Amino acid sequence: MIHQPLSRRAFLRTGCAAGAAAVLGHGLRAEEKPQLLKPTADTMVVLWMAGGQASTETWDPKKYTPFERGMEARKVYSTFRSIPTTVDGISISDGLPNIARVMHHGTLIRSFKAGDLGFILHSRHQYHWHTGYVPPQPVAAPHIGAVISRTLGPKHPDVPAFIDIGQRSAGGEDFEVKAFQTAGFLGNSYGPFLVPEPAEAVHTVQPPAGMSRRRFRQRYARYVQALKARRQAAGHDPREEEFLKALDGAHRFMNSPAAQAFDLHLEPRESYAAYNTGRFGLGCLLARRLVEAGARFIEVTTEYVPFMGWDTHENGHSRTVEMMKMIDAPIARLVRDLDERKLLSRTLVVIASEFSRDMLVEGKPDQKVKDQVVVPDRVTEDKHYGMHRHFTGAGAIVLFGGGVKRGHLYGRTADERPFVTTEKPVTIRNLHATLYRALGIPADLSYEVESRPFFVTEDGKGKVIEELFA
Amino acid sequence: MITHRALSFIWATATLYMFSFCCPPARAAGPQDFWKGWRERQRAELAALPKPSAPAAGDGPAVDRFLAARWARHKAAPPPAVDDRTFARRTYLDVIGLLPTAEQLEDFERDQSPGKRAKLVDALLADKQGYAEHWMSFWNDLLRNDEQTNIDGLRKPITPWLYASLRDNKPLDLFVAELLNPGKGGPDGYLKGVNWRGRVNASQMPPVQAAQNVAQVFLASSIKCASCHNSFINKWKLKESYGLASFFAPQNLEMNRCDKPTGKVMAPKFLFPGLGDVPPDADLETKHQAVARMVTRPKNPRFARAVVNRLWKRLLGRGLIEPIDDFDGKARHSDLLDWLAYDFMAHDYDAKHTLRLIVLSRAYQAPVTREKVKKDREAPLLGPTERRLTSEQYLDAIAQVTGYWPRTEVMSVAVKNTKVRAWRHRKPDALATALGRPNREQVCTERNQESTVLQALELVNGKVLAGRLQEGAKLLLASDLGRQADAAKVAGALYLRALGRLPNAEELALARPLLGSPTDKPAKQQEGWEDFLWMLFMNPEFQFVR
Repeated sequence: MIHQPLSRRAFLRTGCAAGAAAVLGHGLRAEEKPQLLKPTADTMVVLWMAGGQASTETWDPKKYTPFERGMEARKVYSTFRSIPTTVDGISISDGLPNIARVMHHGTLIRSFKAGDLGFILHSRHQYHWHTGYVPPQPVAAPHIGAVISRTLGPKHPDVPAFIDIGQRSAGGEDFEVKAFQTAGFLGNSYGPFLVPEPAEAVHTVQPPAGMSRRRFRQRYARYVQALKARRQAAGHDPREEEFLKALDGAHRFMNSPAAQAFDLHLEPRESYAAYNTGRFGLGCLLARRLVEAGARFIEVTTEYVPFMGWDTHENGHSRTVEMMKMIDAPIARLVRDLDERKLLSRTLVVIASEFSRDMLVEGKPDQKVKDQVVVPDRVTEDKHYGMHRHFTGAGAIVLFGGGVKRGHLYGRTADERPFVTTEKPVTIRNLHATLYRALGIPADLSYEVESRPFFVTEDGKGKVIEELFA
Repeated sequence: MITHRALSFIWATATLYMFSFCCPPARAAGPQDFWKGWRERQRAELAALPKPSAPAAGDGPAVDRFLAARWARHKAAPPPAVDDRTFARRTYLDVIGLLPTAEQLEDFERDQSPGKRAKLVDALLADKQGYAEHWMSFWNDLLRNDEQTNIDGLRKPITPWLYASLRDNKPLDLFVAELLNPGKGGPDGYLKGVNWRGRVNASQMPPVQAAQNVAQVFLASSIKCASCHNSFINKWKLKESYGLASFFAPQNLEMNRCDKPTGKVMAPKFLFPGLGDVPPDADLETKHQAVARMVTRPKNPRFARAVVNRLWKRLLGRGLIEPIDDFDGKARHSDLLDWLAYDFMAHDYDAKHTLRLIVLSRAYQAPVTREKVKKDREAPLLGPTERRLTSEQYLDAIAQVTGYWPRTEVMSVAVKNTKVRAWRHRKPDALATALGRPNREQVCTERNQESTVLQALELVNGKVLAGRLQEGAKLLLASDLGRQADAAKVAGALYLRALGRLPNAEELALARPLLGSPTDKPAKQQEGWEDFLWMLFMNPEFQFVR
């Protein structure tokens, strides 16, 4: 059993054996195979704008309001000018010039309404976005990547189906983030392959630090010899076989050609430099290499750390300048590279964030939020200038490739404060139904846990937004 | 032969019988009176219940007579007992979560006295700290107690209470009653639940969480579905879930169907009839006292069986009734479980007493069984299933072999042990997580024992294990073993520590070049010892409880 080739099921032991068809009313059990729809995409890449990206400062600019000391806070609409994109009728914020040039490859949704979860906690909304369920939950809800991994299996047998890039520790909300960065009840085999440091991704497929490849090979060879030498218990031992097969799978994975995708040093210097705006940029590069190698689901995060990144509780304007620099070039390059390699049509790239931001309004205008930042009526200092408070009335999602329309705008928001959704609101449930649909996964697919069906969209009621598909 | 169905019928009848002779509901006692006379009341109530009988035929303790009858039903030959070393390794791991040392194994093997296995179990159970440190993980999983996050005081760990309760072997009826009726200064974090800042779905309000968890863990009933609407997977109705939840709420709860208020307020009402009542307007303290009593009283046919079944499952790998969290499905019955549950109550809910019976049973002492048991069929119980070491057992075992006990941020309980055992690590690292230490956002009644490539990668090239091997090899090289010129002696000592046996000739031949000798270059020897340790820790004999 030790020398079997690494099978499609080694990473992911989905029931490829003759499985019963899904019957309404009962969730799929461990070895059952789901019934799927015809997909428009085989791979999904989520580019996660962690911390709450203000859509009015990025994808949905409003009237530009330059800084003036002493100006009334409520008169600040957008702190960036808008720039045209390659699509007529779509302007985005100044600071995203490269993405503006690839907009014709994608669909921009401006009407995403994040759940209203009361006192807004980032990690709770992130959990909601990534699982479709609001915590706490009586069973451990799986991440969408795990659902995809369980349902579709790895695309290439040597590449982990679900790869999560760029999240190290989320400080005070570390455990909340870990609560959804998991396969939940689906089981560890569908969980994320974590690459916290994209620049060091190669270490995940190399022997431990300080160990030569030769020593690593010998260690395992000796181990296999020692296994043969020991007193064998009589008979078939499925648990031991499973363990040995997993160890063998790990060694094979590290030696597989696909593992080279993790080695960013194999990337041409020009391209490496073009992506390298820091950890997020290199994460995008790694994502592209992994898509080429045959990954199924990848998430690259700008990394959630409370009050860092897109969590702009102050200095909103100047920090957004920095954040846009971080994401603009690598995202645009990722889209272009995938397109040039003829991979974009089957790869759905999703840019998303847990909620948006506004100058004054947090959550619902009539609901005071605990710990909310006090914004003075007048902008007297530079740090007041920008979008600081959490806002769930509208937000943006950008989709590229994977069968969605190219050069399309979906949804509308008010031009006057509050900048709420006025047309075609998109909920997380329907967004997930749509993303799953692209991959061929029906929104009412369910898996069994504790004898109950657990649906991939809440209660199985997600509705596909057909208009988004080409 | 009595069929399974017939047995279920007998049990159902017995249950009805027990319910129909319940005392009239007593008025709730005052707070001081609540704990007073607890034991006497429990004993008196049990004495009035029918005592299940064990088969008369056969030899040995009652549990073994049940087992003999079962094997006969399955036309299976009684399994042999494992050798002393296997038994000792198993028992050490199951009772205190640690490997026996080479000396302990040798002493045990050499002991010729009759009843030495019973003596070993007794000695291990008497190791209060070892026992408590091992069983913390089991109970942390069940009570989803953890010390991970606490935003706005929305969660509250009960670690010090739990540790003290296990160390003192608090009777489990009192243990659970304290969780349900914590009063002032008690373990109130349990009823507080796991909360995230913000608005919560009605089916996840703290009192409903408490009801779900109490039902699952202590009553083997799933009311999760019925916390939102009438269940479509079992018999429970929305009003029954809310009836239980209202015991945990200061104000009786208004029912919500699918998160929509119904206008109907549910007075507290227990899931099973005949165990007591409280007036609809009872205050929270009265309700806590009442529910604590109803869950744990001997007349409740579920509590002792659910708990004993969990202990059996933990040691044998399979419950006497499966699934362990749901006794409501098709009528289920286990005469052995009924007997064990009664015996557990008759011994004042002493978990150690029941663990002792299980360990000394012929099923536990049999070689591991690998046969697949069909769902809905009675398992022949020919022996324990092969179990993977838990994350905590594995990490502690590695530390025992190398002597390297990593130090990190620990849980909030004072433990007199300079060796920080893995359960105390407040933040599980990548290795602990990969090996199955659960995220305790939810109740976890069974660890995932699966081997996956993702987990194997953590074992093969993960930073955490690589670091432990480095530090471990360093410590070992600096010890007497490092000065030992004979590689066979080194290999022997480490094999004994890890696997409880000496290496055979071939294994030794493979180890020699790695272990080298004290005259080798230190860097080379360090590498060799690291690799030797890795091979040892990946050995299936080390990975599994056999």
